[in-house]
Formats: sequence, structure tokens, C-alpha cells
Amino acid sequence: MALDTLGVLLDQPSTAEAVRDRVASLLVANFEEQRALATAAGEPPEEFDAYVFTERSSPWELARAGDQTPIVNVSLDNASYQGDRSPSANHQHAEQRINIDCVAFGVNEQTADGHDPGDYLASLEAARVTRQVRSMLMSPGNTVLQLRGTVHKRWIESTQMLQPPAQGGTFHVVASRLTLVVGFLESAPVPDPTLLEIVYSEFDRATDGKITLAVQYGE
Amino acid sequence: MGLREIAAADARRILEDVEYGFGWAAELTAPDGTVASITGYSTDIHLLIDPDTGQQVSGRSAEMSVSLLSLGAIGVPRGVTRRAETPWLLRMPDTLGNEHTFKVAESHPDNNSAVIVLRLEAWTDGA
Repeated sequence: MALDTLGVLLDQPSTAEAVRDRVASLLVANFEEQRALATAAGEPPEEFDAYVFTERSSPWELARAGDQTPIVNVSLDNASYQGDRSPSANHQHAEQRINIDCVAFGVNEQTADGHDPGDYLASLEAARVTRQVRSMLMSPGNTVLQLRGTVHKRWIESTQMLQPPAQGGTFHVVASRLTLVVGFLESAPVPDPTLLEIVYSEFDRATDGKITLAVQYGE
Repeated sequence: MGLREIAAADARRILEDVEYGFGWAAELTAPDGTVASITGYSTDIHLLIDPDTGQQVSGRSAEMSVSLLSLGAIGVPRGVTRRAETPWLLRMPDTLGNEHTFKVAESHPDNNSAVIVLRLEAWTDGA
């Protein structure tokens, strides 16, 4: 017996992937704006900057090359689907957790009256990027991540500063993780429907308020 | 001379052997600006083995081991954590001739063999 198949190419990203990419895009656009605003305000733009990646496990080579700009990595974590709120056909009410990892680097730096230790600088940078990412995503303008009709909720569930090892390498690394929960409708492709039966129906409301239904099956 | 003193002298000779050994010259600067030339074993590598998992991990680790017998008047380096102080600095070239300046982050002296291991961190003058 031949089984029914979808009949469509599964070449489109899921809503979860689209939401992850939207989060990354919002961060890129906002960091770009922050750099411009900082420059206009006479503030050092590097204190309002970060590189944004998606789904990377080791974009740290930049730091070894001497670029100490913090790194933000957006990656999908777990999702749950709520059956009691979902139609069984093609949509699922989903809650997707997205990890946003902020990684900051610190190099010991000479100052006029001593030095700034690298571990101290890395911690300050990690806290700075964490604060800025949270502010960008929790802004009232981003309540649905600018995906109206798809996203109905976004919420920073937690922020966790990850403790660096007591004894590290030549430069210090401090990281934090923001967990973003996004609620949306996850969809599945709808195949072309198969015609089972044609049904004509006609409702009629009589003068006494009685409702009648006439049904005709077939062509 | 006892065995312990002989061992300390041997360690010094081995660490400072630049002709037939792995001895490597560096310049040590104390917080007060005093500078001394030292020779010892140095490492500056970018690939480490995680001792917990045995896996290779990316990172950079730099250390230098020198004989305490050779430090003389400059004193014993130590890690400086206070921001209001200038740390001990160590400057040395790598094998390719590129100069690197490090902050002495920690020091681990072995007073029996008179050898001190200096753990080094990257340093920038802020320019």
C-alpha cells in the first residue's frame, strides 16, 4: 500500500530557526546603532560593540588574533510544545529556549598609576555585554521580536555569569548565558488536499427563528 | 656540598644551558623598574590538553622556570593583583624572533631545588 507523503520540498527554515536568526539580526542591528550613537555622543564605540554569531561553538580565534571585541553566540536549546493549545493539523504552540552566550576577554593593561588586571576587565566586559543584550531584547519595541503574527511572547528567563577557572591561560575569558524564552506557532507544511467528498449545505432561518440545514452530497 | 645543594646547582645549570639545552633568555622588570636579564625554560603554546578529559582545547599558556639562585638583587617575582600597583613584567622573544611582554600572574617557588615557575599572562601597555 502506498503511503501518503508531503509532496513538497522541505527547504524552508522552521519558525524556531527563523526566530533564532531574528534574535541575532536584532542584536547586530542594535550593536551597529549603539556604535553610531556612542560615536555621536563622544563615547568610545568599542564599549558598545560585540560580534554576533549563530550556532557557533568556537568563534574564539578572533581573540587569539588580538581582537578583544566580545562575542555573542545565539543558539537553539530545547523547545516544548503545548498540545492543549494547538490544533492537530499543522500548527503547534511552541516555547523555544534560546541560549545567548556572551564571551568577553581581558588582557592586563598598563594604566597611569598601576594596571588593570585582565580578569577584572573580562568580568566588566561580560557584564556590559550581558546588560546591553538584555536591554535590546527586552525593549518594549521587541515584545514580539518584530515578528507580529508569529511570535506572541519573548522573555529573558535567566542570566547566569559563568565562573572562570581560577587559573587560566595568558588572557582571561569570562562568559555569561542569557536564556531567552520565545513563544510562537511552529508550523508544518500543508500538502495539497485530497478531495474526499463535495458537500453543499444551506442554512435557513425561518420567521419564527427556527434554523434549518439542507445538505446535498456529491456533484 | 650536600646532595640538595648539588641538585639545585644542577637545576640551575640545566635551566640556563642555552648552548646545548633549552635555556632561553628573557628580561625581567620589577615593579620599581629594576631590570634583570634571566635565563630559563619557557613555554608559550596555544594548544592545551584538558587534564580532566584528555581532549585538546584551544587556549594560550605561557610559563617560565628559572633558578632562584640567579635572581640576585632583583628579588623573587610574584603576582600583583592590586590595580594601584605595577606588576612584574617579563619580556622575551619567541623562537621566530617576535617579542612578547607578559605579566607575572603567579609564581610557584620550589625552595628545595631553588627553581621558581612563573605563570605568565598577556600584557598591553594600553597604547
